Amino acid sequence: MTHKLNVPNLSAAAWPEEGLTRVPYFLYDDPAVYALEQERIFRGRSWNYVALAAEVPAAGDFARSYVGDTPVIVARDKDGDVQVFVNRCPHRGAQLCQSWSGNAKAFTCPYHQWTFDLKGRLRGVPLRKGVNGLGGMPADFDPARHGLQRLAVTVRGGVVFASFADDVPGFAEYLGPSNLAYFDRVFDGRGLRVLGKQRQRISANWKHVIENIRDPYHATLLHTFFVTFRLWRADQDYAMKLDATGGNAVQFIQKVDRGPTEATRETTSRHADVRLADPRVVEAVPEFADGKSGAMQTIWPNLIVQQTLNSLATRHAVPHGPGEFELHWTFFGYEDDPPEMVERRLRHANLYGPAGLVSADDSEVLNVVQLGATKGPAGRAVVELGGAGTADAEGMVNETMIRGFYKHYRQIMGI
Amino acid sequence: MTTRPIDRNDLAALYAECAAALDDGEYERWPAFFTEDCSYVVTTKENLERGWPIALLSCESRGMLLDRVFAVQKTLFYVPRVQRRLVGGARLVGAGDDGAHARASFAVFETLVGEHTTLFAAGRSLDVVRYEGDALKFAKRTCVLDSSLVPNSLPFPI
Repeated sequence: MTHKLNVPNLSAAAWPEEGLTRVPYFLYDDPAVYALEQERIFRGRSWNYVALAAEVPAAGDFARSYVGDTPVIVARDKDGDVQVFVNRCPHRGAQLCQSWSGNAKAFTCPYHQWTFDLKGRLRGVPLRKGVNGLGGMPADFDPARHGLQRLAVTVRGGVVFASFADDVPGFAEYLGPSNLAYFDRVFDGRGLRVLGKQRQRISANWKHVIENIRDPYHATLLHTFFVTFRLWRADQDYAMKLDATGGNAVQFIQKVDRGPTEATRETTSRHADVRLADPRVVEAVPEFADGKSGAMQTIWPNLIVQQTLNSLATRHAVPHGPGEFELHWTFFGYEDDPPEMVERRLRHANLYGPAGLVSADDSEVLNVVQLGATKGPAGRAVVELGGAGTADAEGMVNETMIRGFYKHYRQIMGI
Repeated sequence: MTTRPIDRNDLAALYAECAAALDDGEYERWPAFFTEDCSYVVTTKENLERGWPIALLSCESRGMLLDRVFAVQKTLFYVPRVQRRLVGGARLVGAGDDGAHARASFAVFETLVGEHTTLFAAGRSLDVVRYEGDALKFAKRTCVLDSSLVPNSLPFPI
């Protein structure tokens, strides 16, 4: 079932003639673009992150989530499988589930008490045969045709993805080899332990946050905290790898400790002599065999996987209309983490989320970008750092990953 | 540790002065309302009820409060705003080895340049207070936001 849209201006001709080095600002507030994204990206052939399987460990456990802006229920059935349903009663459309999470034997609609089992099958319709021979469903009403709308589900390394499409490629093929390797590096098969949620609603289009993660250029310029306390430097070893589509990208850093260079002087702190009063907030221990101190990955369309210091999190960008999105952070560790590692993960979370000593900068600046880009005459962003290509790259002063995102975006959107 | 009973006027003044320091942008005054070994946490009702230990903001010492103040004053980027904290319903609910246990409700209003005033956050705080000399201080302060969703960002303490 596809929605017929009437958006005559949305064609390849709408894109600036320079190509991927320009991103037109109408992408951030046009309702027709937003509607088309929901249809072609989020309800198209994509694997959408919905939850960690550890959020629903036992039969009957459920959690609310989203595929694009469509509310869904993630549930564990009695066979131990994870199911994902549209959070909508097929009778009259009421939302079945109003809690963030819980445990249920079945889902019952509050409106007319239609009841669905944990596989989404319709199990009960009150007064189905009518009362005193009056009314009721027709004799040919078939409950098997009125279950909850189920999405395709794939689980890898304890991470649950869902798709409205039944012909989406397998997850390994979807990610491509280099990005799959980094996904498996964090989600290596160890049991995950959920440490908790941070959620924020940001007054900006959802794509801004994906671009933000794919933009290492800003990290040492906007994030003064990183520079002040010498956590990041513009000249550090830095590499980016994109899959063939451009939709998936990973970037990683090696923590380096060298003397000042020309690059660090240009981005240097005015507070070079300051020290943290309690440095535990950034004291990390290496925990991955490759020795890399951090890797950030964006998985098409709207998942960010964060491994920085000893902080691990998924960040799920949920669109909420053209000019707003929600960022749902799920912080986690591993079931076999010793207590001191759990403490580090909790401490390092001070850098991230809506109150993050670093990430709060991003939340604020995304709002500022939205306001600037979408008001006034038509315009477009300039994305030329590192050239015009979308290949793998090294160094932080490079926008190849933003261009890669829009290469795939244009392909999927047909613009 | 002193077993001196808590003067309710001192408790009310502690909440009011702490809120005023933050509302007035005098962030450097804020850590002094806490003991050296304090804990200061901002979390959500959702995390608390699920037993999830993550917090939006989690300081385990007065040093971490000082670092947060440094970030607010020197390193964080945020658009200009005015915040107004209303603290009400302060009450003592018991005592433990760590001090007297207090509860209060709070609301934080926020005014951005060119915008109406909005309600930024509401919630309750689970606090432990004790005297250091003559001064009543927070030994623990846990601010629990009613909503799981923070509007934009939370650069400042509650």
